[in-house]
Amino acid sequence: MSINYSTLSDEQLMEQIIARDKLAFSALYDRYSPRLMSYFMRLLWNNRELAEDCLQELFIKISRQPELFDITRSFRPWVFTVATNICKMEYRKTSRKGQSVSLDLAPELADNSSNISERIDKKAFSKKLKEVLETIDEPHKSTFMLRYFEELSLKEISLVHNCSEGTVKSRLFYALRKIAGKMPQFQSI
Amino acid sequence: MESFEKYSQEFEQLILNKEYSLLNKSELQQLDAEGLSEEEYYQIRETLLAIKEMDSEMEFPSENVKNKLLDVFDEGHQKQTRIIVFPMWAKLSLLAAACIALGLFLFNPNSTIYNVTNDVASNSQSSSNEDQVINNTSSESTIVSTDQTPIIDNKLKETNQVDEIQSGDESISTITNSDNQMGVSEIPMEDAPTAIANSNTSVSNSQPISLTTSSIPTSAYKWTNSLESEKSEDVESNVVVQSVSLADFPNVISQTVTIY
Repeated sequence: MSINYSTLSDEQLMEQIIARDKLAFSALYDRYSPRLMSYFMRLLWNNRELAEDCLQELFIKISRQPELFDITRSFRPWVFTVATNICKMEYRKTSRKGQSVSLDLAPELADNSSNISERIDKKAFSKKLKEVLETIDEPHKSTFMLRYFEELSLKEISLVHNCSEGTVKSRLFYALRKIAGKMPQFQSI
Repeated sequence: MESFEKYSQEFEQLILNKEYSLLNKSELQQLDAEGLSEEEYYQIRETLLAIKEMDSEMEFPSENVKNKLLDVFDEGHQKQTRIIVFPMWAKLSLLAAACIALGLFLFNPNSTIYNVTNDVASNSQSSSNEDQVINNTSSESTIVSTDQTPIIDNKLKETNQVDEIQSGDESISTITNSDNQMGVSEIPMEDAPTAIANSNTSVSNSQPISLTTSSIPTSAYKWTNSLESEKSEDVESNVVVQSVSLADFPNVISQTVTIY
């Protein structure tokens, strides 16, 4: 009897992976690799090579020790917790090498169009947002990204960061305020 | 920090849906507590709107990443299978090694084996065999052998000729061997070695003492007044009790390892 892996939940796929089902592993990879790759890219200075290495590291962990995941719990916060920890390791490696963690800001975008839809060029905004995010410290940045890019709930984020929901709220507020303050050219007046 | 925690999804909804001028008193107080101005309020709103409108750009890893990971998954699976097979080999070899070790321990050709049977005759025979072993051992551990007896006799004869030995102002010790009995004055046996060494004290053997040697089975020497050495065996306690005359004392002392 063939299994339709696309209909299985993340947790059910993990159960299959624990039972050494290669197709389940492939399905989980297809489901999560773009999201995790994007997450790694944003957290790791848009370094594609590094992001791929981290993605591999994460899925190797899943492949070798799938039983580390408690199937009674939600998979999404767990996988982002592992991803965040891998990023933290990368930050530590980078700080040991003496490199600067934050990137220099790109030149200010020159877009003085009066139409808001034109002014807020999505691509330009996205690029600028990435750059601004680099100036924010890691807990605030990852909290913001998990909330607005990965669309995790406050509770899930609190599980990822092992902190209270109140802390998540305050981090979101801080991050949002800081980002808004650094992107004045995108404000509609 | 506590005031920051008031920020919630409701606050996000408030910013997105309500104009600053339409905020009520409590909402304005809340924003004031955060130090949020009208300008900042709209800045945050625009940023939030832009983020929500922003297409979630997905980054896709290269195809070979997936292939590598699937290979790793296969390797992990094979390893796991091997781990399942390997303990069987290990278990078998360990079992064989354990059997050999046990066999060597139980059937060591160098070790003495006593058959235990319910047969009374064989038991008595076995008992007599054990006695034989003890006798043989005791004969081995006998210090005063029959060959030594003439030497002892000669020494005794010499001793008989000297009845008194004087040594200046010191007290005189006399060894009397008439009637094959010894002792003019009596001293405790504990002092016997000293007395013998000084040769100026009489030694009597009113209390037998035991001197054991390191040979096995244990040999005990019982000092008697008799000039003849005797030997008896206590089979039960596996101790050879040997009566030795006083004249043999120095010989025995020289061969004694431990004195209890």
